Amino acid sequence: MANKMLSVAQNEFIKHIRKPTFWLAVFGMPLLIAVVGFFSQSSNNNNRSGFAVPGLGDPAKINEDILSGKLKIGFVDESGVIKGIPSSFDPQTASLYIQYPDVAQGLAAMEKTDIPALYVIPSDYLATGKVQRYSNQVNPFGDSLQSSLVELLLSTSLYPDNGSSYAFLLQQPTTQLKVEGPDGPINKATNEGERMQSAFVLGMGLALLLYISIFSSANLLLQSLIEEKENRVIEVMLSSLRPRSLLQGKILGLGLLGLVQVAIWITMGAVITGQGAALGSMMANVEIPVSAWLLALLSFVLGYAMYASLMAGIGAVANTMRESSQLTVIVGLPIIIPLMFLSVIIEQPNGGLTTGLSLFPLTAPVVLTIRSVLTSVPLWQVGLSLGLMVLTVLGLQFVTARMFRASTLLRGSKASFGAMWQALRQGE
Amino acid sequence: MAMLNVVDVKKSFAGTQAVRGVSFNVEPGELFGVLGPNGAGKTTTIRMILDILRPDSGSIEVLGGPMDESKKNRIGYLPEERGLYRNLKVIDCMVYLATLKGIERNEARKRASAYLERVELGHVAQKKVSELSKGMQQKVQFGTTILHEPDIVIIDEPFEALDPVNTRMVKDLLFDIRREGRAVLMCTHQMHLIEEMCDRIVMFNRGEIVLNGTLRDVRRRFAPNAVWVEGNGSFDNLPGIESVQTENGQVQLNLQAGTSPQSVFQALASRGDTSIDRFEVAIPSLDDIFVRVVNGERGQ
Repeated sequence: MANKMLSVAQNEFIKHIRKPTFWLAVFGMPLLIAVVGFFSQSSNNNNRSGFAVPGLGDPAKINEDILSGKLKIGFVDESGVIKGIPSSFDPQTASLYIQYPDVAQGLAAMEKTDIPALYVIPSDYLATGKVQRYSNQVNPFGDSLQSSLVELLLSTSLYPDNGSSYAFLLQQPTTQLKVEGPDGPINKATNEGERMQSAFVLGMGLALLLYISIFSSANLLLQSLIEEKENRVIEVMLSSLRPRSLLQGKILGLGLLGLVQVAIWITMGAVITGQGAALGSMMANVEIPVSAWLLALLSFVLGYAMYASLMAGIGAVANTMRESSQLTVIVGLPIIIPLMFLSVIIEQPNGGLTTGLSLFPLTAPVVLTIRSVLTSVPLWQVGLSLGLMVLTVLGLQFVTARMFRASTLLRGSKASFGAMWQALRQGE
Repeated sequence: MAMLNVVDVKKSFAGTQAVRGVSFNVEPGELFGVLGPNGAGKTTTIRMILDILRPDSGSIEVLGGPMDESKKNRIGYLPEERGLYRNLKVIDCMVYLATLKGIERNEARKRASAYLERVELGHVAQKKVSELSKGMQQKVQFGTTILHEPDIVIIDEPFEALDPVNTRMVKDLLFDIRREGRAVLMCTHQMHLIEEMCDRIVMFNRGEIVLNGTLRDVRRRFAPNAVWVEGNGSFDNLPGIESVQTENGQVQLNLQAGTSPQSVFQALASRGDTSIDRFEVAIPSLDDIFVRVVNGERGQ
């Protein structure tokens, strides 16, 4: 039966990859995004009145943080570049910085939460341009503001003629410095900030990858199923193999097709924008355990299998693409849930909500991946989550295969609950 | 060993009994006809044989035992509503469907090419299915049904859309299958083809089998106890004749109970003023039997 399933997968893959519409979608989508992006960028540039500081975000928020005293920058200067807080800084800006004589004291202050992060300017800073950052902070976006203020301090110390102040920061972009984490954990404080960023990128990436794979493949899956229902090929197929094998073959073939599509998009995007190297570099700076990568891969595969089975279920019930489109959106919603709770997930990777979402099969692929990067997920939770995902995949395929059988025989009429129930009770 | 053995099979859909205790068997080397009006339960029964549907009760044995996945490779199925991938090339479509019957891809390609040549479709192998005429598609579909050399061929309206030449071609293929000791179960509304080809038939009506047997037996059951005569002279006043009907130059002599056709023939032959060109025991056509059965008559 495995051979037949592979035959179905091969046929689906080849049939669709030969279609001009597939290649139109592959190359048309990035082109569309590029065109929209170009016009959007042009529009932004035309509307900009004032300043732009890389990574700083909303100036009003920065101002608010500064005024409320939330923002503190701890640093240790081993390079001797910084000769005290520059006199050109206004008092408000100057009060943001706390200098520590050595890393140990800086880390101790961080542990006491006097400062959210510690920046260490190493002795070879002038040669490398690299600064190390230690942080227990769990907001991946907060780092860019702090880093920019360190950049301001460094650039003002190096180039005092430019003048410096918070006002300067708002008026003129600073030279961006390379900020990186230390080689390994020191005491309990590690380069958590970058880990958060990586978790965020990985989680977002996985969610987007799942979303794109599922919805690009799901559309093809639905088309394929509805076409086969309409032209009655499916009856011939079911006389040759089990509904489940047919379903698995289709999911495999179209899933691979979806991955090819996504891989082409990622490659194109990375080449065109030059972000591939940057992303790789960011990931390389953080020690994400191999187990987390494996878990991400496993989660992706199981996630795809779950959602593809759900989509196939829609294909079994619906007779037309129009009927299926509304259901497709509903079924895709659970993938978005982790994105809605992303800040909670990142801030409390072992919290109740996060744990719950990482165990609930439809949200688990994304949440479990993020957790595994951020924290050490208890083994039982990993096992339970994976087990539940596997069971869900099997359960969905069990149900969908039977619905397939029922709906196949009810072509042209809406699949009634009675007929579906009868099909579910049938053996395979 | 029967190729197919269906015993007291029942199936209901949402409270409606579609098949009510159907039983029949198909032997090796047999061309078995399945007749019946639309909605009589033929297709449901076929789907149960193919394991697309499960019976509510009763048993179906295929090739000596219950249906399993390996046996699906030994059955060929041509559904009433055709199922081909319209956007695939003819050869690719045939090869794909053959691989689902366990045939290795290269072997499937070889067989598909040979089949297409045999049915004079070699020139369309690289064309898309959608580019073919209905009759051509029908021959391609038939090819996908027999390419894997199944032991049992189940075909629903195999001659639809075929002209007489192509009908002959498909009939020859079916006769070959029978000659090789394999079995064919054929559903069709074309009664003359059933009469011409089938060894035994079953007729479905309202979910049950109302007729089952050899064609000769079935016809006899519905025979009107009459003879058809053509010739010159008078056919009146013969002993043992109940009534005489004349239609299109053919005379039907309806016999009284207990009168044999042979005694009527002897009586006619002994008349000096009457010549006989044709004398035949009246046997109804399947068409007639079909109409009568559907109208509620079950024969003698």
